[in-house]
Amino acid sequence: MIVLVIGGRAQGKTEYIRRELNVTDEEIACAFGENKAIVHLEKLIRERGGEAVLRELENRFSHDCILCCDEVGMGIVPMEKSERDYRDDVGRTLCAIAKRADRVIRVFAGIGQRIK
Amino acid sequence: MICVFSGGSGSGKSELAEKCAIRLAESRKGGLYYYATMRVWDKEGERRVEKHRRQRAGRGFVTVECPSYLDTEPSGGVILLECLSNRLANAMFCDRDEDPAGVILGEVKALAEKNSVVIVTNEVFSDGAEYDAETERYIDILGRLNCELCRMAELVVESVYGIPVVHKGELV
Repeated sequence: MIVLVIGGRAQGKTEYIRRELNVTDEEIACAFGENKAIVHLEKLIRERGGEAVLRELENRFSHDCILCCDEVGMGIVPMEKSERDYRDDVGRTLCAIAKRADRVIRVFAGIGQRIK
Repeated sequence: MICVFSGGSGSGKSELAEKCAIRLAESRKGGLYYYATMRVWDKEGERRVEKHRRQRAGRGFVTVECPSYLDTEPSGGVILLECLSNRLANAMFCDRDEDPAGVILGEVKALAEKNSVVIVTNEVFSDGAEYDAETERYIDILGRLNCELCRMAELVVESVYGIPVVHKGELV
């Protein structure tokens, strides 16, 4: 089962997966290791690019996996090209992950709404 | 009839809006129009236009370039307006319309009397950043336009990474 948890910055996504999906602190990391939950995907996308992140995730999609990502791109188009590209990259990558996910949960002020 | 699709950058809103416009056109005799509002300034703009052209190629859209005036001639058809945020930016920053919201609302109302209008707009309201007065005014006007159009609309959808979150009406 692949669960994607998205929402704005500091909306309680990590707290949500601890509380609702019974994930322990030891199982959470911003990395592609043995951790059950990968948090702050947006940081990994900024560091490595969306395509590389999707390739890493392909290896994980065969077993249970919880992914958390900040929703970005809901502001004025940035002046800097690299920032514009970053927002588009997060968007495209998350569209692809959302398609593969069994569940997508959007967290708003700590409250999760299942949208898929 | 008005349908509104909103979402952030790269949220997949165009794709959802296109599908909606195509489905609406299946039950109508009139044309299927793509109202392109973007002014192209550079290579990045060209690439964006090219990406959208590829996406809708072979889907039966007649492209109408209308950065600063929405052609209100069509009747009995389906119009995909892509997008409201560019149309407003052009009205404010290029054409210097005195009442940009009024002009655009008038155009959309005239179109919607005789056609189904599918509008793509943009969520630019949540970055919490402070901008210059012009940009602040743009954000406020786009927000009010969105509110007014969504009030008139039968269908309001927010695209969240390709997932349609329906705020009003039923997805067609």
